[in-house]
Amino acid sequence: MRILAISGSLRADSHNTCLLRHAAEQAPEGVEIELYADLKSIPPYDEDDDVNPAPAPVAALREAVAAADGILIATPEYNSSIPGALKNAIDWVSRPRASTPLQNKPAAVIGATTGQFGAVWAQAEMRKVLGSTGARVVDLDLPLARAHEAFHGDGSLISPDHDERLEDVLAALVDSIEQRQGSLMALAA
Amino acid sequence: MSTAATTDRLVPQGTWAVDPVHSNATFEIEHSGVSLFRGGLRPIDARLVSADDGVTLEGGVKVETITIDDENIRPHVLSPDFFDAERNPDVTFHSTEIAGTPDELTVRGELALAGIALPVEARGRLRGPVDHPMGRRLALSLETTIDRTAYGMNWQMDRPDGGPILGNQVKLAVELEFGPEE
Repeated sequence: MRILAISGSLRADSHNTCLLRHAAEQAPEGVEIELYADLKSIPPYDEDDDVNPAPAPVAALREAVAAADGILIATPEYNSSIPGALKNAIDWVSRPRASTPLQNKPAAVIGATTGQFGAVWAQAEMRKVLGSTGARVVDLDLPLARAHEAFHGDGSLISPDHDERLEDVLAALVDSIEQRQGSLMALAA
Repeated sequence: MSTAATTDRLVPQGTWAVDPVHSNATFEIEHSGVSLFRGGLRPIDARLVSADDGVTLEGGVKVETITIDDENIRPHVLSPDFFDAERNPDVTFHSTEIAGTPDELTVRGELALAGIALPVEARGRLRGPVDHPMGRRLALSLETTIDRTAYGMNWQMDRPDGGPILGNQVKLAVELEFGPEE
């Protein structure tokens, strides 16, 4: 089982990217979490550019989403919402709407901020956006507040509560993927 | 008079198969607080069985046939936010009780969609049987109203003036024409 992890933060030392790296290490057996690392190269969405073939970074992201069994997004929070680069990337992948690889794709959202609320609103907005694209969104969040104090030097989480919550989110995502694989097999049968 | 005796006179004994060309299922939901958005699903599959112990109706339709003339809204309605058609490809109904008179018919049963089965009560009428060049025909017209949130369809957005975009009450109607099953 392969999960594509997308960090909404471009910063090299991003807490959200760190959280996804930690998630990759905590992944249940048989689950590979692959970190997408090309968000910065996605151009701003322009319908005039949304042609075939798509811009190479967009095509690569669409293919990566299509090839993944599920999506795990970690988002920071900018002005109470999703960072523009992350929303822009999802907008690209969601088009054309009738054939987006996000339709029925199991997805989960986690997030980290250095503030008190752990990107809780950005996560809610990301879940809403993903639902609108047709994704099957896990109804859980992981608000990692005061992210600059939340990690050990090796990138692992200090608080067992955070690890437990991450475990819950990953388990729910894996369960959603397994259910989807089951229903697809039933449809094919 | 028992229900079975009443319905036995309503529908001649035997199994009646739906004529999908002359049958349809439609829905109606308030949109933007001002309009009624209507759409349909087809072809509908249904059987009406009249036996010694009463009349039963069962039927179903594929969710993916839903008619919504917008390339963005339609896949959203099929997605997990609404019907979750990948996991739940069918809307199904089976009756538990059919009672009343041809002009005031009550059909109780279970309606399953989006992975949830709930009891519903539909009202309508029965017409026929009449003679038709292709054989005898009878028809059921039924209506009911469901609360979409009871089926887990909780998606909502507020309008700029604060009211909801989408109503919660959904009126469902079926027109079913039957002929003797061959």
